Amino acid sequence: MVTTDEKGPLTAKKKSVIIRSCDGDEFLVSESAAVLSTSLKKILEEKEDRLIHLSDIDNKTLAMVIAYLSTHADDGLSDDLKRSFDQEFVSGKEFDVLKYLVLATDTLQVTCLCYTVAKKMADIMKNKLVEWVRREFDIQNDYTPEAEAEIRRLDAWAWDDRQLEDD
Amino acid sequence: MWILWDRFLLFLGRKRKIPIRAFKVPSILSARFDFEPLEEVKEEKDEFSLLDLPDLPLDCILEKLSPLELCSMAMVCSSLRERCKSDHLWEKHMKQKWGGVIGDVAYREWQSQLASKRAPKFLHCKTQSKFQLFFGLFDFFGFKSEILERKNDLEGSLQVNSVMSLYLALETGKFWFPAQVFNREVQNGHVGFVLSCYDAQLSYDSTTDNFVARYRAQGRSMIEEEIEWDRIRAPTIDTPANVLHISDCLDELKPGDHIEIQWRKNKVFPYGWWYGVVGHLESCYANEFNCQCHINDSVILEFKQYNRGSRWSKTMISRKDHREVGNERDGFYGGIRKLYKKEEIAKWKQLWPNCTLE
Repeated sequence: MVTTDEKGPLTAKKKSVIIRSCDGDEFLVSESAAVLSTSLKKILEEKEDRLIHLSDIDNKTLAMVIAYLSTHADDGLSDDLKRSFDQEFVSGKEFDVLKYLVLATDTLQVTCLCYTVAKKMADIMKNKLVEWVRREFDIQNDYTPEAEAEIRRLDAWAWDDRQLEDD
Repeated sequence: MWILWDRFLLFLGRKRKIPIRAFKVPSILSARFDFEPLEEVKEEKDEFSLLDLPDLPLDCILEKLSPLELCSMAMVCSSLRERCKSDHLWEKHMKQKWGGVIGDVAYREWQSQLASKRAPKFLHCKTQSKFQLFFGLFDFFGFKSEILERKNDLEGSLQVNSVMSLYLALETGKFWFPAQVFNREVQNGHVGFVLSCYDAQLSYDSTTDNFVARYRAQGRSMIEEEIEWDRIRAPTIDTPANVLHISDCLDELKPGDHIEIQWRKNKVFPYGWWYGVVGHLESCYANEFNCQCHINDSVILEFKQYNRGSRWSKTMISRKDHREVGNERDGFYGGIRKLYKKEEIAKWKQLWPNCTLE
């Protein structure tokens, strides 16, 4: 083993963990990155295993979360660079991708990423039609047609002069 | 070996401006580990609803939405409506837009208006759940709703005492709230109220982003329109406009202090607050080394917006037993507030007239 770490290979090996997604893909992550997730930190404190299996996060979502954690764990990067990484990280991502990402941040308890993703989702949801939200989030409209018409009429303040989008 | 791999990846990452260091473990390498047997693998993603999101992410999203957008979201379904009208989401918006003009008096007025309205009614949804009941806000607003009328035999009472309901009542101009207006009626062409602040009932117009004020005097009602935000403030103290404020700063008043004093034209009119400064007594010659004004029983108050010769330009009060002083000709001077905050003083200076007044 070639390493410059003075503490030797045994200690060095402990510095990485392997995280397995629900579909079986495995990711090598430095421990300093993993512990930015409160959930992973707890698991690592409780057991010696270097392998963590996440049964409800798929490989694509997990890869994104790990990219985020690794960047934020890198002491060599300035805060400005990390902020611009955050912006780039969520830009252009499909709404569907963000939904699973925000769920993963909750499972892994990565609060700062949760805020970043939630903000992006809110930005996308702005100026969208009610129907768009129902469709994207699979929400059943439980208002009766007359009740819905009534709310729309009464909420006129919120509906006037707004260009709403359906895509 | 692992470290080497990691560092190699790190090296690759650093070549780029923003490194991403999440890499799948190559299957050959990962085979070296004794992995735990795979647990049950979830093959398919189930569609999930916004409502299935845990509280934190859902709240994070809703917190980022504006009042208008929260109203849109509330349209989606009844349980989302329930989430969207949470006080904690609206408190931020309330403070941001209305914090400067809505004070304790306005809150109390709102509460008493709510209490005097009849109990709100419900609107039913297709499914029966306490979360799927339409909120009774609109009933409060006095909208005539046939649906609401038809559904008025439904269970329970619904909280209209929410921050959202107050916000919407303000935004739609339905709630005439008590506040104070600087330079009253200047919009109507009056200069007689320059550098004063009077109590009024105000209603917001969201289309023009300004206010209509209603002043009451001697049973009559004066209306002023198109009042901008910077001419309004929440009342600074609890004393109502027809009650003498008990001054608590008399002992410390010294030349140069900024004050507001109550003044009314006659004893049946409400007080307004007038801006002034503490001046030097005539015997003092404004000599800062020999000045004894701060221990003299008489205090001179100057209103420099008026010409020196004007009867409104100064008045004298007694430091020891100042109550209301004045007469039918010059009006009556009441309680005094010393201004400590720079912002309050700056506000008055911002309203200074272009020329002195007679």
